[in-house]
Amino acid sequence: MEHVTKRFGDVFAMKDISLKVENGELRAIIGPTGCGKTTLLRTIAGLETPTEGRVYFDDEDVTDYSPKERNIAFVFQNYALYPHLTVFDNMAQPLISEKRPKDEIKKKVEEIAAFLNISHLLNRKPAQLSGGQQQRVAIGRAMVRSPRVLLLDEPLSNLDAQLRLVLRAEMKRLIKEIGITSIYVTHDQVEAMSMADKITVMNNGVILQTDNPISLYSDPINTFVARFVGTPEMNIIPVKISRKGGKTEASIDGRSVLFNSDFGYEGEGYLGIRPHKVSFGNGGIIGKVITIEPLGNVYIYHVLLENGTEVVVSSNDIIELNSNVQLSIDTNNAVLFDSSGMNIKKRQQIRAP
Amino acid sequence: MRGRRKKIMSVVIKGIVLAAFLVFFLAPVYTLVIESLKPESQWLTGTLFPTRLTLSNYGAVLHGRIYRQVTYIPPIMGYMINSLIVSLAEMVISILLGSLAAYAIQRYRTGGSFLSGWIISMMFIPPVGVIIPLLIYYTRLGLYDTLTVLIISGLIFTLPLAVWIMIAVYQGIPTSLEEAAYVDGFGRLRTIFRFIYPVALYGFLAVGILVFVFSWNSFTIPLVLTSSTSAQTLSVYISEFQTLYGSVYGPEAAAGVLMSIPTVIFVGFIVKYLGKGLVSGFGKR
Repeated sequence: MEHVTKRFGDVFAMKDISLKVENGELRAIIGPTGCGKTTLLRTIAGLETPTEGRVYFDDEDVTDYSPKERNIAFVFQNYALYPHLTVFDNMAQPLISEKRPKDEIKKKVEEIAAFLNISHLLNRKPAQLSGGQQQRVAIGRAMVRSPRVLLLDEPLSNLDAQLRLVLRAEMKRLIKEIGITSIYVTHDQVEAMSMADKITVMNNGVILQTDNPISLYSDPINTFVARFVGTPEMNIIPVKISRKGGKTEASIDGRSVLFNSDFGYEGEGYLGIRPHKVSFGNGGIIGKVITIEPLGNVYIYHVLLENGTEVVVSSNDIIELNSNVQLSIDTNNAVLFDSSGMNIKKRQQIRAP
Repeated sequence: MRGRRKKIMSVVIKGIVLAAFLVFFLAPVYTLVIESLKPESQWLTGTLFPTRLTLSNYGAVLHGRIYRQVTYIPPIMGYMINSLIVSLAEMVISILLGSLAAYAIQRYRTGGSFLSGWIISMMFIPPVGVIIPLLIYYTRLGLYDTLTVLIISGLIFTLPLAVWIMIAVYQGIPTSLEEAAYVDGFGRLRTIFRFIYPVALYGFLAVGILVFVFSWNSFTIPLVLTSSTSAQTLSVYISEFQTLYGSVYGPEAAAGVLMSIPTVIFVGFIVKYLGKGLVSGFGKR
């Protein structure tokens, strides 16, 4: 889609969004509540009309097409199963609307039901199904017609945490087996990380970054993305950044951390570092342990630095509460941001060409 | 020990309060039924426990009978059929028109706040307040004393009631249901009839029953707009015991019992259906 803007009255839900999803790709769109991600999905589906901009499927302009004409499938957050129909009839509706012959419908629905392991549920009504089963029926209904795009709006958010983990893996397998182009909206970044080929991060109606999960995690474009992706979230520590003959120095509380390349930026900024890349040792950054969260496999320590910044450290070391510690930072896994929160390495790359 | 005594006391108090309420609400019903079963000799005695019971009052209203040589009680059947025709017609028309109007108002904001406000205001109009102009119009139109006029003027009050409740019914149905249908390839009309109406069915039933009872019990409109047995309804029939026949209490009570039967049955239905979730099976919302 190109340059799509959607306004509700004076409120912009999306501002000049351009997004390209490849054939067969599983794309996740993440962002906080109200960032425009659901509006984006609904615009692709044809349930919303963009105020400006065009939507294309391959090279075909579908902006003025109804959802029906777009041949898409949509899995709703509440599944939106037809409560008065059986599972079989629910799944058959997309085929019935195309007036396909009865025996073909029966064959297709049974085939998809078998694939989804819900053959034994075909005569039940939605109210008699568990959340996970309802979700599978919703996916089944989406699949029977071999749509061009599968759109999923927070399909797991109504389920309990345990089931969510199971279905996450199952859905990824299903979608990949079918090989359908899919766009998946969620506010749960872990879900997006575990499922998607590529992730698009949105906030306030604009796209911040699109990247594969690993790059997004290790090299976020700004402090917002850095904080949004990964749990526990990335530490963002205020630093002074200066260039030192081909290298870059970041200083925290007067202690300097050296980066091996020159990013062409000097001044106030931030250093971003994942909690498991900070270690206790002789790094010279002094702080005091103020909270300990024992998670079983690892301890999460909250360390208060002299400048008042709280740094989260995930470590297997056993440290006592209130003890003074020194932290060292692995610069190979740290990111520097300028005073506006922009990744200075990415900033340099954008400027270079 | 004290705790036990307290518990007993609370049960006793609850019992007394409940009994008082029951007496308060059921006493008139009991009195009506008992009056309808009293023989003529005991009509005016006011006793609540008559020594002899009879069904002859029911015979009188069902077949018609002359009392005291001059007072003729006409048979109830014609009135009952009039009432049934009017109430059923209002019920069906209210559901058909109301369900479409409410859908437009709830889903597409048709008419904005003006239309919905106007609809509520219609429900608050006292029938007596508009009955004289209606009488003038309908007489000019040659509709005076017909069932048609009763149905039309009844709808002035029952249709807004139906629309108002159905707006609430539609509010309970998530819009994602329609969107799912659009995505599945159905147009707007097919979506409404295939997916929305079946889901709203229980709501429609409840509305229909309310409209039926409302129309069945309406009195002012038929009293003023009809004058003969060809269009008079049950409520007018019963009122004439007081105005024309005078002190024929047994048959009057019997007519009252007969008129109450459909409403009692319908209230049973309402309790059953209104309690039912409209859209079970939607996961958590």
